[in-house]
Order: sequence, then structure tokens, then C-alpha cells
Amino acid sequence: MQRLIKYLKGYLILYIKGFSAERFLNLCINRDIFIWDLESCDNGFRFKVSLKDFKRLRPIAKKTKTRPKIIKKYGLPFQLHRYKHRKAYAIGLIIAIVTLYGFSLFLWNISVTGTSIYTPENIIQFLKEENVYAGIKKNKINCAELEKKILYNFQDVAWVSLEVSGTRLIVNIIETNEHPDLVKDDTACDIVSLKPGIITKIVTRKGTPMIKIGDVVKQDDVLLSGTVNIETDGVITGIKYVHADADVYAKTVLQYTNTVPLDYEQKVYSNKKTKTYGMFFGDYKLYLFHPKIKYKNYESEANIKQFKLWGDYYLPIGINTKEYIDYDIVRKTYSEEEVTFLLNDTLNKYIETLEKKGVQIIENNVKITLDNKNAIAKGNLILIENIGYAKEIEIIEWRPPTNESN
Amino acid sequence: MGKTKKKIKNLTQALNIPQDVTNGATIITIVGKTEVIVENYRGIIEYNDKKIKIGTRNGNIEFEGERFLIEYYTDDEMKISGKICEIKYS
Repeated sequence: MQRLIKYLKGYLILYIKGFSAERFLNLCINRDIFIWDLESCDNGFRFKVSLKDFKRLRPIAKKTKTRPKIIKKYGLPFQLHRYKHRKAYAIGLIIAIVTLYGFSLFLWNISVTGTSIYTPENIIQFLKEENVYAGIKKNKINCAELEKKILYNFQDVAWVSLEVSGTRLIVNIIETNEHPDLVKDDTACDIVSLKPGIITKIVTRKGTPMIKIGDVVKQDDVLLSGTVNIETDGVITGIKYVHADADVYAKTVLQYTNTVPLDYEQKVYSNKKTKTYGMFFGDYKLYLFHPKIKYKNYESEANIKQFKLWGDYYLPIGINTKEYIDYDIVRKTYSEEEVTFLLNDTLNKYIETLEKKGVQIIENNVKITLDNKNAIAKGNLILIENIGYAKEIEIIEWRPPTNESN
Repeated sequence: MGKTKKKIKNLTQALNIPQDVTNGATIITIVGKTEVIVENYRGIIEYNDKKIKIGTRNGNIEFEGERFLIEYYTDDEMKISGKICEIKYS
């Protein structure tokens, strides 16, 4: 610790010689000059003294007629002095620090995780419409408000969290297959049907059921009412509004068609590629060279690698590569087996996604037909699904019927 | 002058007061064979790597040895390191 302080303040190694060298030292002490590492060599003394005290040595040296000789200088003040003429170096260092600090005030990267129905691009596009994009100031981002807006605009998002970490905005999304209730828990609402169907099961938690099992309902029919009549002795004396809450399952019909043309074009990739490299700064892209593409058909693939300082501190600069991949178009025709397999596969995948949503499939009468040009899968899927959703009620002030009109 | 000095000496001995406070006596702390800390002195009279002569109020003290180095040297304390062979009072 003491060494560090000595280094910061700077010190010198001096050499003195002469008859009155001891006197010189004693005078130093009398004037409160601190001397250390005193050693004798070559009929004289070598010692260390701090830079501050060195300036006070001059009158003593005059008095004793000795001449202290500087052997070596140590410490920060001397090093700084050495760099005094390198102004550009110092300015560059300061500019680098300031720009790094400046960059860290802005948002440079948005990453979206947890999406499957929506793509990260959807979310980024939406955020851009809300004036949140790479390049804005970090303190302009209102995470709580954006979370609400995302929940409101993306129906299948159950939970979302926005977090600014370093120069990066992390959007965490959990998607759901059930519609989140947009109606708050404490406001009065009805349960309304989403599609037509036959009621198979009702699980009521709150509200007055308006339907029975086996009833046929249309779209937007009220299934459960949030209006509860208060009766005393068979006479309605008041109305209470509640937040209706129920699961209403119904048999619904879903029409499914999928047409695939028998003739199709397939891309056959040759191994020819052309690559180009470049840099980007914000939205500005710069490629080192633009290759001449001799390919008739080609795909281009762009990759971006953004630089970061550490962790989540992204910078608005990076490297981008672009690749041109050559391919040929080959015309082909599906055989009957191939096309049936293809159609069945897509249907199965579709059913799988439905089942993931909690929909039960009780009947599947999709049939595949072939004509000259197309293969068509067509038919109905009969499902059992939850068709109820909450809808806010406009509260009308209820007045007890009066006898005056009679 | 000699009388008052003697009186002070007697008094400090009687009262058990440390001599360095009243009399300005030199304190020499020797650590092992290689380190000496000297307090209450006037100054260096002679110094080379084999001999250090220190002037005090009550006469001189001479250290003899090898490779003497004064690690620090202030108004009231100095630290000497090196191989010590002899300490002489004169």
C-alpha cells in the first residue's frame, strides 16, 4: 500500500558525494524531509526521496556545497510527463471511453425467446411500431407498459416479460393456446360462445347458466350470464353483477381442406457458393465487394454477427456475411403414394397442434381425392373444445318495477 | 547545569519515569542480528557500509558490522539493517 502511494506521488534516487554529506542528511531531517533506503557507495550516499521533498533539497545542497545527482526517477508523475507530448494518444483514449459509455446508454439488440406461434420478427416488428427498436435510448423504454401492449395485441401470449440487460432488450414470451381473459377478474362479465356447436359439458364456477347439455348454440350466444337476480319470495328485488367463470365444452365442426398440385418444382442445390463479407453500423450495411452472380437461380443467405463488449453489452457494429447459393429447378410429379403420404402427414401435424391446444378430436372423416392436376384432402373434423370466452357487461342501473305505470 | 541534570536524574529514578522522556535518553531496539531501530538522536556523524556513528544527547553510539543500509531516516526514528557485529558507546 505504501509502495503504491510512493509510486503515485513519484520518487527519485539521488546520489550525493562530498565531505559534508552527513551534514546534508542531518539538515534534511531537521527540515522534515523524509529519506529512505539510504546506503553508502563509492564514498557517497545513495538515497530515495519523494518528488515533493526533492524540490526543497536545493537550499540544503547550496548550504552544504554538495550536488545531489539524480540517478533514476520512479513513479506516475514522471511517466505522465513522458506521455505529455503524445496528445493524440490521450485524446484517443478519452474519446474511446466516452464513446463506449455513450453506446452503453442505447439499446442495440433485441432478443425474443419462447415464441412458437409468433416469430421473433413479429414481436420486433410490433416493438418497432411502438417506437422501441435497436438504437433508441434505454431510458425511453417503459417495460411495464410494453408488456401490457404485447399481451393485448398478441392473443396467444399468456405471459411476457421485458428486461433491459446491458444494451440488450430481452423479451420473454410464454404462449398459450387458451385465450387469456382480457376482462379483469373483478369486472362483471358474461361467458359468450366463440363458435356454433352442441354443448357437451358445463363446469360452472360463477354465474347463471343459460344453456343445458345438448343445447345447440350459435356464435356470440350468451352461455353464462354474469347477471344474477336477487329474489325474495319469488319477486326480483335486485340485480347483482358477477364475473362469470366457467368452462363450456361443445361439439363443433371444423372444415378441413388441403390442396396439393401434383406437378411441383424442386430446388436441387449444386455445391456452388459465393460469399461476401461486410460490416454494419446500425442500419447501415457495407459490403467489401459485390460479387458478380453467374447463377441462373440462387438463394441468398445473410448472417449477422453483432459485436459485444461482454455479457449483454452489445455494440451497434458487427460483421455480416452474405452467401449466394446456386440451385437448379427440376420439375417433378408426385406419385399417388407420395401425395397421400404428404397430405396425411400435414393432416396429422394439424391434428397434433389442435390436440396441443386441448381440443379433443372425436371424428375425422377427411378423405383424399385425386384429379388430373391436384390432390385434395377434404372433410370435417368433429371436435370437442372450450368455446366460452369472457365478455364484459355494460352495467345498467336496475330499478325495481313500479306500479305507477299501471 | 550539571547540578540540575543530576537532580532530574535522581527524580526520575525515584518516580520511575522512563528516562527517554525526561533525559532524552536514546532507545535502541535490536531485532535479531540484522535490524536496529534507533530513537532520540541528534544525527548521523559518520556513515559507510561498515560503520554508523550516531550522535545523541549523551554521547555517540557506534555500530559496526557489514552491509549497513538505512531503511528510513526521520527526525525521531531511524531503521538500520545489515549484519551487526558491535555496538560501542563513547
